[in-house]
Amino acid sequence: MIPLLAGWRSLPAGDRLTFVPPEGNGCGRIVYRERVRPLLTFEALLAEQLAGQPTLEDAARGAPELFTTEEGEQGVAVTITGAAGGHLVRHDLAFVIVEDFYAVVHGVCFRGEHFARFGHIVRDLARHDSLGLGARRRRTLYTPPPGWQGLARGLETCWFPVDYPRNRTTITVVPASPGALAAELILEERLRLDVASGFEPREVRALDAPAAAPGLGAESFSIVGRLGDAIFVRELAVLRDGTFTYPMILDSAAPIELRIQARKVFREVVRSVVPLAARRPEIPRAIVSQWVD
Amino acid sequence: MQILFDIPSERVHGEPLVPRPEDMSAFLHGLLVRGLAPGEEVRVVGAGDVESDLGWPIALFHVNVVRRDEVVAARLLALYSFFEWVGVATADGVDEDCVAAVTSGRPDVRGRQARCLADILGPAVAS
Repeated sequence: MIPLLAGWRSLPAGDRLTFVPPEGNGCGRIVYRERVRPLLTFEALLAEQLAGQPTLEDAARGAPELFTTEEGEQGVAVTITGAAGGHLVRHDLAFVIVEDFYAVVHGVCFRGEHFARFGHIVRDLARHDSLGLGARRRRTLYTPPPGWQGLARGLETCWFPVDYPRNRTTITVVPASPGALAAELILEERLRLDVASGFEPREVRALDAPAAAPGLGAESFSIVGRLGDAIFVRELAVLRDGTFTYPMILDSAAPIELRIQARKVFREVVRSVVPLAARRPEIPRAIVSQWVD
Repeated sequence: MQILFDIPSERVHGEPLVPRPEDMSAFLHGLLVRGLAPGEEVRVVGAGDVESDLGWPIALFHVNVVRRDEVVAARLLALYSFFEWVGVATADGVDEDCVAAVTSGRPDVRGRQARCLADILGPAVAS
């Protein structure tokens, strides 16, 4: 849900709400869509939004801007300008990214004197987007290991090196859990899960805390055990910021020199974690429309 | 998501990866009989589990396409197990070059869908 725009016409249709400015369609429009799936890469999101629009000549794209909604959801906004039909056109796109869907505010403006105004409104609407999702597990924002491939499994992502399985090493980034969970509890729960899959733990010990971003406390454990005919060495890192707990796992059955290399990569991933914004505690007002509040 | 071949061959064709089917036998049967012309049948003359150059498991089938008891084509069918995904490659030939290309296959799991938040927010974090 986004706020109504005073003086603008709002036209709900299908999966979207379109706002038309007081100056009329010839000036531009802003379209809001919510719960759009699937979640695509940034480039694919842009391509999806611009598909069906007149092709822009000499298109220029501004730097993507990170933002956080009032509810603590993460988003990204970008401006694209170019010429279409001999006139300058500006697109402002703001995406609010949730676990498995996104909401998008897409403004198109055809009059240069209103470009900045449209850009401001699009970003403001997105920042006030109310999805009312409550406390939940969320995706963690981190820098993926360079050159590794990522396989998404729900909210979890498993990263493996280009020479896998010769280099039998994976990094698993588990979704962030709301609350400050004890690292020992996560260790215990994960072991329970692994034992059910045939893993036989041999040795568990605490490690030096890994480096983490300011505001994040970190703990780390090493678990050595056997799975089938392979000895696995696992490092479990648990980051906490008081609002969320961010577990991350390195598993390796590779030779020692590759494990040392992988541990460096893992520690960089851990260090790159960006804490999620704390959520606004208020519950959104009563819903009278699926689009606006 | 697709198969990348470190040793490419014009006679080896990879297909987009698919989630591992519940019924692998039915999946395999479908692969073996697809594209057959009327009057043709397929015979599996060899099968075995091998590993790719990097160690990915591959179920490899040497199949003959037969018409009126005459072999009209000999092919390799490779089923790769890439974690919970399956890759399929066919080779129009069964010689060493085809085998070398097939066993050089590895997964490329990139796609349009985001794997993690950085795939969407990363460009903004970087800038």
